[in-house]
This record gives sequence, structure tokens and C-alpha cells, in this order.
Amino acid sequence: MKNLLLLLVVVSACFGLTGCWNKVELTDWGFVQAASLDQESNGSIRLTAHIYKPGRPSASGENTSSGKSFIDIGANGPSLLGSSSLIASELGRRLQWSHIRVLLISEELAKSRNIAELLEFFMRNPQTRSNINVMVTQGSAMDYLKIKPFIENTMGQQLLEIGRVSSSYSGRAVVTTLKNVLITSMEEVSTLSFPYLRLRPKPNPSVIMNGLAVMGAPSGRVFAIIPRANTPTVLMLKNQFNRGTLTIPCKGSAENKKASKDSFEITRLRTHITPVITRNDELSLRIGIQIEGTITELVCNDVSTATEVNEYLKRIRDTVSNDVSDTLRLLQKEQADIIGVGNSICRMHNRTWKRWGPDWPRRFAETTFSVDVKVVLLNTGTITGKKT
Amino acid sequence: MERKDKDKLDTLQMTCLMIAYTTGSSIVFIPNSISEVARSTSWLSMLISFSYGIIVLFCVLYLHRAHNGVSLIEYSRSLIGNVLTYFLSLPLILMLFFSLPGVVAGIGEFLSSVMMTETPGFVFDSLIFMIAAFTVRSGVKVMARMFVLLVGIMLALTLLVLLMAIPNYDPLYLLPFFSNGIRPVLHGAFISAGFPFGEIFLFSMVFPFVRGNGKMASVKSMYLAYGLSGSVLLLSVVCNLMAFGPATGTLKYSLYSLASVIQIADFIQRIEAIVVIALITGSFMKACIFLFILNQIMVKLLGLKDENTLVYPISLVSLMLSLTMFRTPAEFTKQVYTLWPFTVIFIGGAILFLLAVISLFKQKNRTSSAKG
Amino acid sequence: MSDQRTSRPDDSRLTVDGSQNLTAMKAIFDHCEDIAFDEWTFGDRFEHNVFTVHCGTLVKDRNKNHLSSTLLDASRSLAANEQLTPEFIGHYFHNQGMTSQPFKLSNSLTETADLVLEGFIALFFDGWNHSICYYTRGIEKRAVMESIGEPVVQGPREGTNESLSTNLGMIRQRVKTPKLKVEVITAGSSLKTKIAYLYLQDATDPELLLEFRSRIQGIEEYEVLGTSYVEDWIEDSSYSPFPQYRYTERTDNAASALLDGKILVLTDNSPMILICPSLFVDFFGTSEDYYVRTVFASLIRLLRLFAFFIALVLPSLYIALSTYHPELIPTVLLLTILDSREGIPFPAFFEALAMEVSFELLREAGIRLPRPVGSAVSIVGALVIGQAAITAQIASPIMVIIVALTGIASFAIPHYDMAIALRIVRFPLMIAAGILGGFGLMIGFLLILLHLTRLHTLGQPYLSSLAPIKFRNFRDIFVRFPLRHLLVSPRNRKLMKIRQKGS
Repeated sequence: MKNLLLLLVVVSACFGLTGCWNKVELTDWGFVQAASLDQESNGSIRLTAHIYKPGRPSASGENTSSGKSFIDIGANGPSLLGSSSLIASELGRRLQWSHIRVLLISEELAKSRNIAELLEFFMRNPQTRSNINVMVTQGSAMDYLKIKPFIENTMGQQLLEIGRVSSSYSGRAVVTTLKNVLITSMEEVSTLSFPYLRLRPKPNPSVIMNGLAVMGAPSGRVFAIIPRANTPTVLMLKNQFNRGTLTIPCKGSAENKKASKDSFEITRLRTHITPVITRNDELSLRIGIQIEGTITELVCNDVSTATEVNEYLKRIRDTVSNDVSDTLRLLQKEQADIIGVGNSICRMHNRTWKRWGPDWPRRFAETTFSVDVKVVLLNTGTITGKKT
Repeated sequence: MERKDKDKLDTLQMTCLMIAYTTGSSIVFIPNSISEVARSTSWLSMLISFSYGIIVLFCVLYLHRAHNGVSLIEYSRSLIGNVLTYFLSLPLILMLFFSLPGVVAGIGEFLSSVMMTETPGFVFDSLIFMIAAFTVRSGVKVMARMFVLLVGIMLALTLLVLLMAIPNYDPLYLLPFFSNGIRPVLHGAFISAGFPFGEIFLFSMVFPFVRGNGKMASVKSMYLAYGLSGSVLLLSVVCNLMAFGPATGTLKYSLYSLASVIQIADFIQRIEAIVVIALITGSFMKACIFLFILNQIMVKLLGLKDENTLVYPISLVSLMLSLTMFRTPAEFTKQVYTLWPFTVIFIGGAILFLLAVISLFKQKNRTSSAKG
Repeated sequence: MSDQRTSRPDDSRLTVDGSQNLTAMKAIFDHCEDIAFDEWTFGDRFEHNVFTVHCGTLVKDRNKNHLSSTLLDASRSLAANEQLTPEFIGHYFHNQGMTSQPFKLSNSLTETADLVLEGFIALFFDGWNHSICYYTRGIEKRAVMESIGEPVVQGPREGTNESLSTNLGMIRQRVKTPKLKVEVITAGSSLKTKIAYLYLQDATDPELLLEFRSRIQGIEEYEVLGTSYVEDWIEDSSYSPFPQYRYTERTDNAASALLDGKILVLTDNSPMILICPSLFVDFFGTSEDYYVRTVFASLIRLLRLFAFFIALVLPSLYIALSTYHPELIPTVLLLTILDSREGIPFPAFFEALAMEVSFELLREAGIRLPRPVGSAVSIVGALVIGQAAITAQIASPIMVIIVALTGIASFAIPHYDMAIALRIVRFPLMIAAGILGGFGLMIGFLLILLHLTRLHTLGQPYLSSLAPIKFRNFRDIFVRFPLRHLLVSPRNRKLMKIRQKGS
């Protein structure tokens, strides 16, 4: 009996003394789906939160209104936490950051501030997860959140999906998350690339991937933009190219933009970059690429006999080698080691790295390289290898 | 009152207690502080401190066998006398009054910094102490029975998380070795020898409760259990290194962060809850065992008949300590990762080795006098 | 006239005087209109008096003339010229002369009165101070039919009824060994209920038996109406929500429990058989598991385990996740829940509590509704109420789904007592989740686990096979191995051991 009384006292104490501090109803949160950071004219940062607006429950059978299912609220506070509390007071609900999909940073801001510092708030916040995608936008980032998504509920989801599909199926984008930012900021060579977005206003406002924005140490700012044409090759070099299409111009018409081109779909691509330290303490890279794929468009030549197949494969090899050389030279010109050569040397040849570390960008710019491509043709699709 | 042999724990239960004790709260914090200093070679630090732990375990088991299964206090009484025992057990009691609140404060801090940020810490601490006190008061058999199940759950969840995170691993993050020489590795070994591997010396208060009166049914399984917990911790360190690379040292709760990056097939995400369950369970078990050990030391020192008298007072005092001991996170770091390893190795380890050496000499004298 | 009821049986002896006996018996059964007194005479000149006492409502077959058969049996030993006198009859019966029916002799008024109330017919001969009692009970009892609470799809449908002898007989029919021991205690001075406990000698742990016997002592003074009274008397912890003993009304269940070494308790006038001790893991199996095939039985057991957790945890999990940990819900699900919860006036905790309580009300009401109306009202009513609540936006659809799932899951638990335990424990868990979210839920679980580990049933740890863990027993807990593995061990483990020792 005594135990029962004790239990009752304890239980009533639990009721009376606890304040249920963390108890927040679902309807009291504003769930942020995407956020954007912009540079204001006076140098401060504007945080815009893209918040999900729940529809009315459709229990009565009527369809919910066709209004927007999100709200954008921006604020200009002294710090990101300050901005978020300003947004919360404007919305009337506290902000819940745990379901945020995408963080957009405008190009202007990314070029003038250290990105890792900017994102500190998000990395330290216990609510956020480290797999939030970070993207750099051309122009003001706020505008990207205002447009109406095609199918998804919110722009945040749409941008995330764009990034995912582009990276997995067309090789046109990297996926960079907060975790990558955190880890890269601690690496020896802290160069990181972000997807670079462009807003196309007509006919319907939409967002397209337009290359890569490269951020580097020690400033942590974006210092180079890799154009869209070179992005697939960069992905190949980073060994992050999953699937994608390769367009091969017909022989002799490489310069003619209007000529027909074959296209080859790559289903598997593996790259091995081996750094070779030459005798006079210089670096040379041996790049080996293995490609497997299928023919998707065949207009230039037939590919039915063994010689024709070899010809075709040679054309692919040449195209890829040229692309790789061009892109690498571009990277070297920008001194942007986003393919991880520096980190690889740090790991494998630690003592050499201790000597080379300080002026790595210069050394990277002077590196020589050799490219070796191997291609395997899997099949020709549902039509035989005769050109149409 | 002597326990009957069948009222004691069997081998499986004792091994589970040991796993709970070693892996319990450390699975939360490993390898944060170690990778801060030793970076990518943290796993080597773990191996070094694990071997130190094996040596300590060997001494503990030797003393257990040599004195027919009585506890640390009792055989130190017979080896060095009553007065010196009181003297030597004072640092032990103080150590336990640090580590018990430390464990609970750690888990309280984890919960309030990660999951429930507005809840004050005393709520978590007091509830854990309350349940720990209830569990210890129910007796060691009930505790062991419960812990077999809880250890299974904890290990299963941990391994599940480590398995599911496989897409995130990049083995290259384990290089470079020895980027800064051997000293950081030794520093890391020093830290992990304090927490968790060196604390096994306190288990000499728990071994009396296993069946056999000194002749344990399977000494090998004790080593195996210790090895299992060591491997789980080592695996956790390696996996965290592979997933986070150089950033491992900046993440305060590595296993939790690992669980948060798991994303499989677009719908298995946000499974941090699994890790939180494992962590709370582990810390709870460790707190119970610490409370039990402290209670046993006091009971054996003071010669109390009812073993449950002091449980509530000790819990209350520890609760107060856990709320006031660490004023800032910096103090927590310094005390747990610098002062505590020193105490465990040089005081706890010293006491144990001293007793072992004296015991060895006494054995030799006894055999030589029996022969001669 | 002395007060016959409070005096001890030795004090109230029958006398040789028949009329005094008659007066005494009539005084005992004063105002008992259903006790019939018949007076007879026999002898050549009708000089000997006899009267019979029997309880008219208990005795079915009144045509059997026990009196004449008594006289006939006794007169067979008469010599040629002897007359039949009461002294001779007394002599005959004292020497255990053969009669056509078994008889009891008594020379105590209270004992005879008790026997009459048991359904015996008592013959009093004038001139003899004993009474002869024959067993004639034959009251209507419920027919042996299927137990309502434990239906099976395949398997025997023999259920117990209220008669102790019928039930014992049905069990004896299944367990045909003299090792099945039956011990009977009579409890209560007004009810005089017979409590029988059965056990299989070599299968039951002797310590268990000792513990049981020491606990059941002292019950003789209490009025025991049914088996549940016995349960309350011998259980370890009356305050725990978890049942420590199982009930069954099926004889095949009882027989298999006997094989497992359990002790059965049966009471007269109650069909429920108490199986003691009953461990936590026993509540997840039914006898039907052994009548279907291995794979199916294993999957169904796993489903029951799943149902157990759902019934226990689902509402609390919903409260904890939606109120304290929205970050743990996958985003797409979260947005759906948000859409449905917008506009609901109550916080999640109160909504859950209100829906759960109304479900419990529906359930209790459904038990007492008359059969033709009952099922229609409960099903349609639940649907209508659920739908109306959603339309009025008092409850969100997701809450209704959760409550419905929880209710269905708790019906999947085969034993009623365990389902009740779940219903009880669910509410404190909901409160704990409502106060401290996921942490509160964990604390609740740890407390429940601690309680279950501490609980003992008849001296055995309640969570035996799980804690302390015995892997050998896992063959029959969450899965069911093929019977040829199970019939050897653990079921008949002790029997096999003893047989091996013996042979």
C-alpha cells in the first residue's frame, strides 16, 4: 500500500512540476523547406525562409484551393539566428529547420564571404541534418524560391530533385551537402564545388543547372565558375559520373555546330587518377577512364562490323580525351583542384605533401597529365547497328 | 549473509554486465576526443588502450581466482590490513562519485543539446537516477536479467546503424597514418585508457557475484566479452573515421551524426531515434553498474547487513553532483578527458597492481613455506 | 435444541430413536422447503420405521428406490428364518455388506445434513443410530460445448462446464496416467466449494508444488466463489497489471499445460481452469498453434508479437513524435500529417487520450449489448463516430487510424488478461510520452521492463526464457519448431529425464 501511495505522489509531482518544455504542437511550427542567403546592399545578409503552408484537411470531400502551398518570408537580421527569429515573429510560428531540403546562396554573397562561416548556423543547429543540399545561384537567390514548382509542393523539394536527377542521370551536377562543407573545410585542400543554378524567365519560370561554382581555401569564397559544358567532364574526373550522354560529332565536322552528331549513353564510368612524382620533384597525373555504354543515336556511320565498332570506339575515346584535357586545362587555369588530387597526395605520399602543401595551387597549375580512355560497347539499342 | 551459489549470476549474465559496463556510455562519445588529437590514426590509439585494459582485466581475474571470489575490499583487507584499506578505498569512492554523476550528466547533456533543447538537464538526470536506484535496489540478479536483454538491443541497434551507413564510408579517410608522428596517437591512447577501457578495474567489486566462488566456469568468456566490447568500439571509431574523415573530431556525438546521414532508398532516413535508444540504454546500464559498485564498496567497508540502505542517499548525492559538477562544457572536457584518465591509470590501476603484486608475493611465500 | 450449525460434528450424534432423529433433521432444515422428508415402514407387521431425507432440487432421479434396494441387499444375507430388523441392517452395513450402490455411513447429524446438501439421499432406520447415504445427485448442468472466449478454426471444441466432476473427467480422458494427481480442498463454511488442483507428478517441479501448497493453505476459511478467487489468493502481486496465471476453458489447453509441468486449479461451479504458474511468454501461444503447420504457426506468433508492440506503443509513439520530435518523421509523411492536423483544436495528447477513452467505452458497452443488436451497433457505430469526428474536425484522420490499429492489435492477443494488461499500461505510457516525449517513452519502457523482471509467479521469474535467457526455450516462444523437436523438449523435458533415469 505504501508503494502505491508513493507512486501516486511521484506521478502527481510529475504532472505538477514538469513544464513540458519541449512540447510544441505540430501546428505551432513553421516547417522550412528551403532557405536562401542574399547579400544586401549595405553588406548585411538577408535570410529568406521558404515555409510550407498546410492545406485545409479535405475530409469534407471538397478539393482544397489551388493556392500556393508555400510562403516566403525574408528578414534582415544581425546574424542568421537573429534573422530566423525575425521571420518567426512575422509568421507567428517558430521555425523548424529539420526538414529543410536546399540552401541557396547567391553568387554575389558566395564570392564575397566565407561560405563555411555562412553555413555555421546550419551546421551547429541540432535541428538541421547534415544532408542538406547547398547550391549557388546566379543572381539573387530569393527569386528562385518565388517561382511556382511544376509538380512538387514546394520549390525546396523541386530543387532537391533537380539536383538529384541531374547528378544521377545526366551527369550535370554535383550533390554537395553540409556534411561535405564541414569535412572539406577541415581537409588539407579545401576546394569544393557547388551546383550553379540559373533562372530562365521565359516561357515559364524554371531553374536549370548551369555548371559548377568552386569555393576554395583559405578564403572560403567562390572564385571560379565552371561552365555547363565542362561539368560532365569534371564529374568524370571526380569519379562521380553515374549515367549520362556523350555527344560525338561525326568525323571531320567537329567545328560545324549544325552537323548531326551521334550520341552514346554512358551507363558506367570509372576513373582512376594516379599521381606520379617525377624525379625532379614534379607531379604528373595518369588518368585512366573506363566507360561502358550503349548507343542511343546513330547517324554518322554504321556500327556493325568489328572494324566499324573499333572506329566508333576510337571516336569516343578521342572525344573524351579531348574533353578531359580541355577541362583540366581550364581547372588549372583557375587553380581549382576540385578533383581531389591534393588530398590524395596528402594521404598516399604524406611526406611529399608536407613539402608541397603550402603552394599547392601553383603546383596544380603546372601539373602534366596523360589520359587513357577505354570504352566498352554494351549494345546498340533496339535497332541494329546500321545507321538510319 | 552469504549468498547461495545458485543465487549468483551465471556466465552469460556476467559477460553482458561487462559489455554494458565497457560499451555503455562510451558508445556515445567515442571517438570525439580521441580523433581530435589523433585524427586518422585514432583506431590505433584504441588498440593500444584496449591492450592496457586487457592487462587490467587479467589482474582483476587473477585476484578474483586467488582470493576465492571475494570482492576488492575484502581481499585488500586480508592483504594490507583494515586501516590501509579504508585509506585506499577513499580515492576509489571519490572516483566513483565523479564517474557516476559524469555518466548521467553526459547523457543529460546529450539529450538536451541534440533532441530536446529546451528541457532543463535536471529532468533527464533525476529520472535516470530514479530508475537506476530502483534497479539497483531490486538486486543484482534482477539487474543482470534485465541487462542481458538491454545489451542485446544496444549492440544490435549499434551494429545496424554501422551497417546501414556503409554507402557513406570512404576508406581513404583512414589515411594518412601518423600525419603528426606518434605523440598524438599516444595521447589518444591515454584518453581512451581512462574512458572506457581502464575502468574495468572497478569490476572487481562485481565479480564476486558470479557463480563458482573464485573458480569461474569460463574465464575465457570474460576475455571474449571484453574483446567484443572493444571491437564494437573500435568498429565504431573506424566507421566514423571513414564517414567523416578529418571532421570527426569536431562532431561531439559521432554515432548520432552517423545515424543522421544514413539515407537508403529515399524512405529510410532520420533514424537517429534508433541511436538515441541505444545510447540512453547504454548509459543507463553503465550508471546502474556504477551505482551498484559504489553501493557495494560502501556496504563492504561499513559492514552493513541490508545492502539497499545506502542506494537512495547515494543516488541523491550523485544527482546533486551531476547538476553542479560541470559548469561549462570546457570543464566537462577537461575533467573527463584529461583528469579522469590520469586518475584511472595512476590511481585505480596503481591500487590494483599493488594488490596484485602483494597477492603474488603472499602466494609465493605460502607455497615456499608449504614446501620448506 | 442445540444450535446444530455451530456445534462441531462430534457433538451432534444420531440416536437410536428414530423420531428424535427426525425432529433433529427437521430442525436443521427448518424453512428449507426443497428438502423432502419421506417416512416409510417395513417388516411383516410394518413395525419398523424408516425415513428418508433428500434435497428435491438436487436429485433428479427419484424413481430409483434406494430404500427397497437396501432392504433387498440386506435380506439376501438373511438366514432362512430370520427377520429383517434395523439391527440386522445396521450389522450388515457395518460389515460392509455388498450393496448395489456405494454408500456412506454417518452417525453425525451435521455430516448427514452436509451430505444431503451434496445431493445424497439419507436413510434413517428407527433403532439404528447411523444413517445410510447414497449418491443421487443429478441436477441439470450446461452441456459441453465450445468455449466462447477461445474459438479455434481447426481443433477440438470441448470446453469445460460448471461441474467439477465433468471437467475432471474430461481431463482424465486426455491424460491417462496414474501420475496425474488430483488433490481436493473444500473451502468456505457456507459455500463449501471444492477446489481441486492437478499436476503431473514427474513433470512438475517439486519446489513449485511446495510453493503452491504453502500458498493455498488457509483458503479453507474463505468463501471461494470461483477460480479467480483462488488466483487472487495465491498470486504474487495483486497490484501488478500483468496477469501471473492463465485461464482456459479448453481441456486440450489444460492437458498441454499439465505436460509442461504446470499446476491446474479447478473449482466446482466454475468452468475456468487456472493454470499456474504462467510466464510472460506463455501468453503468446494458443493451443491452435499446434494444430496448424509450423511455418504458419511461427509467422502468426511473430504477428502476435508485433501486435503486442503496436497495441502498447503506437498512440504514445504518435504523441511523442508529433509533439516533441517532428524532425524524426520523414518529410513526405510529415507534410501529409500537417495537412490533416491543421484546424484541429486539441493538442495531440488530448486528442489521443480522448479517442482512446472513447474506444474503451465502446468496447465496454459492446460487451453488454444484447447479441442481435450488439455487433451491428459496435461496427457501424465505430465507423460513424470515427467519420463524424473527422468531418467535425475534432479528430484528425491519422489519429482515428492509430486508435483503430491499436484496438485491432489488442484483439490479436489471444489471452484476455494480457490484453487487459496492455490496455492498462498503454495509458501511463501515453502520459509519459505526453510529458517528456521520446525520453519519457524510454523511461516508461525501462520501468515496465524493470517491473516485469522483478515480478515472480509462484516463485519463478515472470520473464523466464527471456530473462534469465534460455535459448533452448526459444524454439517455442516466438516461432514454433516442428513438433518432433518440441515433443522431446522443453515440454516433456522432465518426464524424459526421469524416464531416462529410470530405464
